[in-house]
Amino acid sequence: MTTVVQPLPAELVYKAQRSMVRLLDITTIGCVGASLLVLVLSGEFPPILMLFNAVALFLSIFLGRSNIVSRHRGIFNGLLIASLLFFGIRAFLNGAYIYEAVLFMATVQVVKLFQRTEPTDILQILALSMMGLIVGAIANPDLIFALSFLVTLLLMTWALLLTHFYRDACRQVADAQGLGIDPDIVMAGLTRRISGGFILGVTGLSILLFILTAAVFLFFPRMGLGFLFRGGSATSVSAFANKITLGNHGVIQTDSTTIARVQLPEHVGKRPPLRLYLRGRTQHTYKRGSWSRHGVDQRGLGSVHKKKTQLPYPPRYPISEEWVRARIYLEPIASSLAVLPVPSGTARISLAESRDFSPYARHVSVFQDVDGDVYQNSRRRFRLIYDVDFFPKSDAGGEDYNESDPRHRVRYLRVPRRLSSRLSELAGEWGADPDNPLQAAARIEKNLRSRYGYTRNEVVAPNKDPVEYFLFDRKKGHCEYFATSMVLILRSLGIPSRIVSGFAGGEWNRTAGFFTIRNKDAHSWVEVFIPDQGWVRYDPSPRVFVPEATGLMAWFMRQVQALRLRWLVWIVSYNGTRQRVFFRGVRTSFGDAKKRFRNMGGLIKGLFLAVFLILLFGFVYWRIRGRRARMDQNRRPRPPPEFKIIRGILERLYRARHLSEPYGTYLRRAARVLGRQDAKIQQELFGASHLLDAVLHDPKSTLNDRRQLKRSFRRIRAGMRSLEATPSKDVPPPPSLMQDVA
Amino acid sequence: MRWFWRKKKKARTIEEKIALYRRLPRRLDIYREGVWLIVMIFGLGIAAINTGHNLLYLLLGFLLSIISLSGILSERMLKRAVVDFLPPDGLHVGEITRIPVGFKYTGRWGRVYSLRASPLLDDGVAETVPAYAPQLTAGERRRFIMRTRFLRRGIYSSPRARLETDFPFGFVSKSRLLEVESTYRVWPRIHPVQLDPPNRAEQQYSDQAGYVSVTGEEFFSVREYRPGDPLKRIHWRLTARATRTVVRELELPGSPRLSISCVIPSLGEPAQEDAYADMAASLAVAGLNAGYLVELVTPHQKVKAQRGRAQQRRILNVLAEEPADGPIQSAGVVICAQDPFGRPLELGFRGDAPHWDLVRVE
Repeated sequence: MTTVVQPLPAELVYKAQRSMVRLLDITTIGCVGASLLVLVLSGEFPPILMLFNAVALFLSIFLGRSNIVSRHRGIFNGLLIASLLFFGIRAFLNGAYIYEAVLFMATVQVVKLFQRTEPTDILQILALSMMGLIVGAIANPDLIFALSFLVTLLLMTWALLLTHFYRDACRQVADAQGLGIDPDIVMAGLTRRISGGFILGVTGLSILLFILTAAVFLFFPRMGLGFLFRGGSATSVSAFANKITLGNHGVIQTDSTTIARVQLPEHVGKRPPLRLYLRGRTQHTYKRGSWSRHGVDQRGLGSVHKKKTQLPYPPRYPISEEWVRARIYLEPIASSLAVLPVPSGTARISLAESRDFSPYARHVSVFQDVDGDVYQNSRRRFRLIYDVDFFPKSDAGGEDYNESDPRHRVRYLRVPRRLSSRLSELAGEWGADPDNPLQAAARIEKNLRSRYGYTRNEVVAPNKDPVEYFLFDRKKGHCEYFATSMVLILRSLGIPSRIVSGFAGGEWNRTAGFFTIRNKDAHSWVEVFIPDQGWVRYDPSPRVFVPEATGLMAWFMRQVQALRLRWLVWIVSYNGTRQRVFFRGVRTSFGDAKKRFRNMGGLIKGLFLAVFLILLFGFVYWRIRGRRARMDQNRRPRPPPEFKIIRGILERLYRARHLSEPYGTYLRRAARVLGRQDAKIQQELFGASHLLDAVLHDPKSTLNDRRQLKRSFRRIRAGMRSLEATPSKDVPPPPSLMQDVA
Repeated sequence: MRWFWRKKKKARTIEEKIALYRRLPRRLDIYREGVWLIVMIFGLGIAAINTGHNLLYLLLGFLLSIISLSGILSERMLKRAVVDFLPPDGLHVGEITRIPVGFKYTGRWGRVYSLRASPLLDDGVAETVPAYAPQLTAGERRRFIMRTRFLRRGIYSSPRARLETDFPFGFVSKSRLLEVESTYRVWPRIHPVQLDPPNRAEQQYSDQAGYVSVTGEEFFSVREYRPGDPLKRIHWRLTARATRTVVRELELPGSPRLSISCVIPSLGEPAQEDAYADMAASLAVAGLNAGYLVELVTPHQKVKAQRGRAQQRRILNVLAEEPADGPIQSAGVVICAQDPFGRPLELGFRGDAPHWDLVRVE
């Protein structure tokens, strides 16, 4: 005895409502793509795996729901099990359980795309893509997340809605199969829903979702209890290293990872006001190609979380000079010493902006050492925002050089004995006067810039000191060589100097008034102690700084960067303080509006009141009228939309329809009366009446029938224009509308 | 602590179901996907609150908005929709019956989607596939089909209808009760039984097997023309008015009569009790089809001998509501046939029925 295998409801629905299911597939794939995009661009995950996922995603567009997949379901299930084992073993070996779980999840969602048959499969895929977005929020909180989020918001609305319709249809078919009813009969009654109005409606739904999301985001109280790790992207930055080593790097990469953004609020829309130098670490002793630091005294800044606090070792600045305000958005960076890069000449600093932003920032303490370097005591990686006031034309800050202090002599004057005589000879050739530090420094800087070339390509000096090789043989190198050379030459003349590593230049964005500092902006320069002037900065490197690019592409990139900063400021860094500012702003605006209203003249107040009362009464009237109309509607049903085409002309030529007269019956009666004038109209009306009955009452009627009905009514209307009015008082209809049987 | 572990009692009767809605006018049934969504929202909320990560708040806002919007839209779907049930005159036990349900959307704009309506009945009375309205435009009235299979005979009145939707996202099903009454007469099962027509000697009274003779004098009724009816019996006036040919049916001085007595005992097993009613109904229908005047006698009611569709309805209605409280000694279905002159007739049965043992011929 053969058993008949019934086809799956999902397959039957797919055959009957192909366009809806295809749209569902496209939106689902879009959601998965948006989620993968965030993960791929975070840079945290292996590129090969991400590439595999991207290719699989592309293939699933064509192969999902195909016979190939349904015949080989076992292979895909095997793939899932294999990936579970693979990532499980990796997690066990390297201990990164969450990381491997994320990779597994990204793989599963793509493999499941091939097996997207049932509505539950689609929901699982959407849930996985949502989880991918959550991971992306932590791994890659940049502007690309905003794009992915918006795409997901739009597409997921569609996907969830269509999944619901799909599941409803499958449920209807399954119920029919359970009762032994032909599923085709059920599916014929499931009308198609994808129309222009539907598309507009769903788009409106997405907008509403966006508004609600924004409202929750703005008003949800911000708190961070700090039990869980709050990570960020880890970037190892050489500019903040504890050592500088020459000759070890090969070709130095021009890495475009953003380290920080330095916003100058008073310079929005203007040209770059200065060349920015962000101070990192000072180095003291040079030995065999490496710089190192000594332990130095430091002092803490107490109330830095509440207000701007004066640095313990502030710079010297001319009295007439105006200070410049800057807000620095520091990306999470991995640094063994947690440097806080500040502009050269910083006098005051405040971490108040970060206070409510991160649970860890509240506990961060800020220090400044005698060299003027500023750093914080936390080893965690998190974003910081801090405000500084600095004097561009001041000295670099830090403790003044004290000749009698042996520690200062060690830190700022020590030169390797082997190099000392050669370097002082060179200085003499360049005309540097050891008794005039200002002149000497300027001369050395000028000579280095003019006589030596800049290159990022390092070459290991054969049995020679790298600086010696640079100065006397190769004659080209990068900024560390130039800075090291200048410091050593000055020290050989007995002039106190030090090398500082940090960032210089950056890309100026006129639109939002900020510098974008990248890894490739890492730089080294020299600070020379000039009596009565303090530690003066010199930059002997001939590197070319281009603070503001030009051209259409550059303009476009500036807009993108400005958008990125706004995203960072208003979304990623939105904290309790900003929330309170927002609410205060709303309250203030409301208060201002109230004051302005009170100060207005009586006539205008009266006008406002009149408008308000009109709107209020209008609203009340509309609600009451709506309620009455709804009560009436039980007695006076609204006509089907197509009927409106001929209702007016029938009322004019024949009579109005009785309250409970079936539409079909009404048309047939009109046909009999008006048909005496024109037989063709009679035929059309009869045909239209049966079609109308089918549209109203027959569950098998389709969209095509409605279109046919519309066309028929239009023909009838055109034909009836030439008829004469024939009012009739024919037999009233039966009492109950619902008794009318098609 | 017993109260904490006590399992929630499921509402089984109509009164219990109505009582559920009295506390809250809307009921929510969360599907499995909805539970996962809520778990995800909780997890994300805890993560956001713990870490203070703004993008997690953003995603949390998104998920909360989905829930909120889902609630608002589902309420809109339910609020303006009304339904109306059109059960047939009678339906049979165990048969899947299509019952038209009228849906109407009383709103002034927009559309509603994915509405399901079903009458509120006690548990175990019927298996129902609710009527499903995929889409309605403003002011539109449409009929959709509800499929029902009643499990027991009887007359069931449903004072309320349940309208539910899981629009827009299918995470939660929201329902409300409407004050819509509907009555369902569930007739006994009709087994495929045939009775032989009255024997040849009496066939002078019938033109064809199973049909009534025309040699009587008294006007009885009109019916549709059947092949073989004499042309002189055609009622021309009515035929002109109607769209089909009708004939006069004249009453015989007497017709073969079938008398069925049905006593349903109280057995405690509904299926066994219904078997008596099923056999009685099957025999009554077979007798009417064979051309007999059929009368039914039960301990509570008596249906006078008549023929026709109306008589069939009367008999089935009586059997539908006949209670199972007869004495076991006199339980059973007793059937006897008489010719128009009161002489007993032999009965010949054909067909398949499972409970012939309950039938006695006298």
